[in-house]
Amino acid sequence: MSRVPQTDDRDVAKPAFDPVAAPWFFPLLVLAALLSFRWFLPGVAEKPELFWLDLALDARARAGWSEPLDPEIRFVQLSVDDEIARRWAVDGEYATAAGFLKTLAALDARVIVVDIIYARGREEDQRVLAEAIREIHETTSTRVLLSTVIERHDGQPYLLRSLPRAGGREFDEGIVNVPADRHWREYQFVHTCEGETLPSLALAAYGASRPSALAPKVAGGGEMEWKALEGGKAVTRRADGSRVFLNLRHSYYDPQEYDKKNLNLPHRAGRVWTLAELEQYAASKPADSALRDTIVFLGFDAETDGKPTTHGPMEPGMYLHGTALHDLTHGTAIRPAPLWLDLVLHFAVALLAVAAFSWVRSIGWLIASAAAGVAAILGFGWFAILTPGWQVLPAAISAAMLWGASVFLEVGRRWSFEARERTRRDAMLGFYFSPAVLKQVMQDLDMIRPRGGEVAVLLSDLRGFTSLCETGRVERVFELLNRLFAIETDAALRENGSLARFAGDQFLAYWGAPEPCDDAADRALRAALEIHTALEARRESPDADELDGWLRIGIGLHHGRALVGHVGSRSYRDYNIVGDSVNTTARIESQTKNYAASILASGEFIAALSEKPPALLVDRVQVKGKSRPTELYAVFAGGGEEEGRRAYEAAFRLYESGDFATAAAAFEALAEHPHATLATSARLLGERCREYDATPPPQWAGVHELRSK
Amino acid sequence: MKTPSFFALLLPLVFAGSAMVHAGEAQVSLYVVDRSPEHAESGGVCLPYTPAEKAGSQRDVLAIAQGSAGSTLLLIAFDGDTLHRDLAPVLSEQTGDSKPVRFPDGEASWTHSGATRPVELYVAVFDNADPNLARIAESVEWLSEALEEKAETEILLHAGTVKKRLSNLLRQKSAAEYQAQFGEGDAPRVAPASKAAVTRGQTEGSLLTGPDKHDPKATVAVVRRSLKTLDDEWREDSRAIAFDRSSPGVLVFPVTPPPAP
Repeated sequence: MSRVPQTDDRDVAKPAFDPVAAPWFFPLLVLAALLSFRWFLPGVAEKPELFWLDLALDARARAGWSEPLDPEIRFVQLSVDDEIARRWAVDGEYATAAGFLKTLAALDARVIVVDIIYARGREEDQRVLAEAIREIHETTSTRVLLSTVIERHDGQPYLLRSLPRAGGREFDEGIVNVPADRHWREYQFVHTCEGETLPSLALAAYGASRPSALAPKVAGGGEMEWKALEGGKAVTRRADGSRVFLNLRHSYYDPQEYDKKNLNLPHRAGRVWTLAELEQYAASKPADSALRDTIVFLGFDAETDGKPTTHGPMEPGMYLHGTALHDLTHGTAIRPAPLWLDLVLHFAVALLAVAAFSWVRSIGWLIASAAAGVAAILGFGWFAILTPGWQVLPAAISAAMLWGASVFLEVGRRWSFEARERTRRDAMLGFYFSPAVLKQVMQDLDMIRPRGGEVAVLLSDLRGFTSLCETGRVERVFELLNRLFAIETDAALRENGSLARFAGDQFLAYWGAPEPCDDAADRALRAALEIHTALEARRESPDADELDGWLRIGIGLHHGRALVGHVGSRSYRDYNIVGDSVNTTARIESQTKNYAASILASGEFIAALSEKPPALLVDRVQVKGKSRPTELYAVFAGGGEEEGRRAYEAAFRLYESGDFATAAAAFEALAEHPHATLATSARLLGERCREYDATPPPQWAGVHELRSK
Repeated sequence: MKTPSFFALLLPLVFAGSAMVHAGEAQVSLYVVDRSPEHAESGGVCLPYTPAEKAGSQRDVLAIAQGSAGSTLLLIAFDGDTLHRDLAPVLSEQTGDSKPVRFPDGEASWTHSGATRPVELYVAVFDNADPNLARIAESVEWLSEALEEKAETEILLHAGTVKKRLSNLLRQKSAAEYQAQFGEGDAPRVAPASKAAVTRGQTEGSLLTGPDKHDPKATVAVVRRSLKTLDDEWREDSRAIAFDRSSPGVLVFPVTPPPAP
C-alpha cells in the first residue's frame, strides 16, 4: 500500500520563519524600508511626496479652493523691453529704479520690496537711488526694503548687498536666496552668513510692514523672533534656517481670472502690475490709490528671474517671496507633520494592512479594500492641504505607498503561498486521482471527505509473480512492476480513474469516486481493455525482452457500493477505497487464471455497462465469504469466437438446468477449442459436471460454491 | 411671458432691493478746536478742519459723528501703522436716542501739533448685522484693554490688526474714493447730500455726488462754532458715509501737517 505523509501541521517540523506564510511580514517590511529611506535617504523618500504635494496644490488652486493671497501683497513686474532699455541707456538703471520707487511711494504703498540687487553700479548711480529712498522715507509713510544675496567666491559664502557704495546698510534688507534645485517650492525664513543672522526678503518685508518695535529681531542661535497675536494676547514667534514648503496658492497661470474672482479690484491692473500700467495709473493722479497700504514687490519678470513652480513652468522669483510673506503672516507655510505623527500614521497604516491581510481572504476584496484605504489616506492628505497647520500630505503619500506596496507584495505572497499549498496538495492527491478528477477535487476539497457510492473497480494481478520473486533478481522484479504499473496507471488515468494502491503486484483503480460518474463501468472496461492490449503489444513487440514476457495479468472488474476516503493514523494516511466491492473484485480477479481469462467481470459490472462488450458468462459461483452468487463473465478483448461462445452458452444452460451428463459432454466438446478461455472454462465446467453427475448437489440452483478464495 | 411684462414684474423687486441695500448713513465732522485763552468763555472755538488750519499746542483736533439707528460707529486715528498718541478708539453702537460720538472721547485730547507725516482718522460705520463688525470690534476691544493696561506690545499689535482690517475693507470695495478731500472748492459746510461722494460704498445714481462736483459758490468763507453749542450745529459741517448690511462705510481723514508759514 502506498503511503503518503499526512499534512497535519502539528506533526510537521516548521522552519524557523516562513515569510510566505505570514501576512504581517510584508507590511512591516515595507514600513521598515520606508522609515529607513526617510531616515537615511530623505531625498529619495521626499521626491514622490513633493510630486504629489505639487499636484495637490495645483489641483487646489485650479479648483478655486486656494485661500487667496493676502490682498495687501502686490507685484510690479519689470520686463526688460525696448522702453526700459531706452530708459536705462538715457537715465541709467539706478535712476530709472529710483523713479519707480517714487511712483510707488506716491501711490501710498506701505512697503516697497525691491527684489533686485542693486550692487554693482557706479557709486554716483548708487547715490541717486539711495537718495531717492531716503527722500521717500523722510516724506512719506512708505518703507523701501532692499535685497541682499548670499553669493559664493572660492566656495566661501559672502553677502552681496544693495547700494554698498551709497550707504545701503542703513536701509532694511532681506536675503533673496531661495533653496531650490530646478523647482521653486521651498523657502528659508532666516539665513546666516558671515556671522550675521539675516531675515529673508519675506521676513524683512513682514518686519517693514509693522511698527519698528514689532519687527523681527535676532534671537541668537540663528533664530529671529517677533511678537504676534494669538487669542488677543501677544506671543513670541520664531523662525530659523529650517526649510519650509511654500503653500503656493496664487493662480498665476490665469491672473486676470484669479484677480477678478479674489481681489474685487476696481482697477484695470490686478495683483500683478506692469510698469507701464503703474505709470499710467500714477499719471492719472487717483484720488485714492489702489496701492494704498499694500506691500509691493518690485522684481523682474519670469524671463529674467524665473523658474518652474508648482503652478507653472516659469514664474518670477518675487512670487515666491510674496507667497512666503503670506505664509508668514497667516501661518500657512507647509511644515511636514511632526515625526511622532508621521510614525503614528505609518504604524497605524501598517497595522491596518496586517489586519486586512489577515481577515480578507479574497484577493479581489483585498485589492478593493487597499484601493479604498489608499484613497482614504490620500483624501485625508489632500483635505489637509485645505487646512492650515501640520501638513500631513507627505506623510499620507508615504503611508499610501506603504499600503499599496504591501498589497502588491501580499498578492504575490498569496500566489506563492497558494502555489506552494497547491503543489503540496497536488503532490499528495495526485497519487490518487487523475488530473481531471484532481481538478474537481481542487475546486471542492470536500469531495475527498469519506463517502460511499457506486463505483467500478479494476483490480489486476501479475501472473506468476510469486515464482518470479523467488527466482528473479530484485532489480528485475521492480523493473517489471514499474513497467506494468506505468501501463496500468496511464490507462486508468486516461479514463479519469482514481488510483487506490499498488500492493505487491496488485493494481487497484476505481471510477465513480470521489466524484460520481455515470459511465464508471464503461471507463473501467476501456481501461482494462487498453491495459490488456498494451501488454499484449508489448509482449509481441519485436523489441520485447525477457521481462516483457512476464507481463501477463488477470484483471477483475466489478461494480458495486464502496467507501472512499482517508484511512490511516495521524502518522500515515492513505486515500483509499474499501468495502465489499473491492473484496469481490479481488475474488473475481483470483478466478481469472482458473478460466484462463485476461479480463473477468462480474454480472453487476456487465449490467452497468452502457454498451455490452463481447463477453461470455463462464460461470456462476458463490465466492467464499459471500452469500450472494456472482456471475463471471470473460471479456473477449478482440471479439470473435461467436460460435464457440454460443456452444459454451448452450452447454452452460444445460449445466444450469441440472442436466450435468449432457452438459459435461457439451463442455468436453469445447475442451480443445483454440481459444484458451473457452477451452479452459469448458474443461473446468466439464469436470464439475461429471462430478455433479456422479454426486448431485443437494439443492442445485445453478451456482457453484467456491471452497477457496 | 413677454419681455416687457417680465420687467414690469421685476420692477418692485428692484426698488425693494434698493431699499435693503441702502441700510443707513452716518455723518461725521472734523474740527480744529482752538482753546486759546481768548476763547475761554465759549470753551473753545471749533473750526472745520482743512489742511491749511494752523497747528498749536492749544489747538486740538476733534471729530464728531452720529450714525443711524442700528449701526455702530468706529473712530480711530493712526500715525502710520501705530495708534496716534495712544488715543483710545471709540466704538459706539447707535440707537434712536444716541448722542453724537466724539473723538477723542472723555478727557483725552488730540493736539494738532504739526506732525511730520499725515495722521489718518478712520471713521467707519457698520450695520449691526454686518459680520465685519464682530471681527473688528473684537480687535478694538482688545486694543482698548491693552491701552488701559498700557501694554505697549499689545497696543501695537492690536492697532496693526485694526488698521489692517480697515484697509482690507477699503480694498474690498469697488468704490475708488474713500479719502476725505480738503482741496479747493471742497466745503466743510456743503449740504450733506453733496458730500457722500467722498465716501466709499457709493453707488451710481445716488443723490450724493462727489466733492469734485461741488459748486464752489456753495462754500462759505469762514465758519466758527462754539464748543458749547457744537452738538446742535455740527451736522451743518458734516460729511455723509453710506453703508449697508454687508458693506460698511469707511472714510479716512488725513490730518496733514500745516503748510509752512
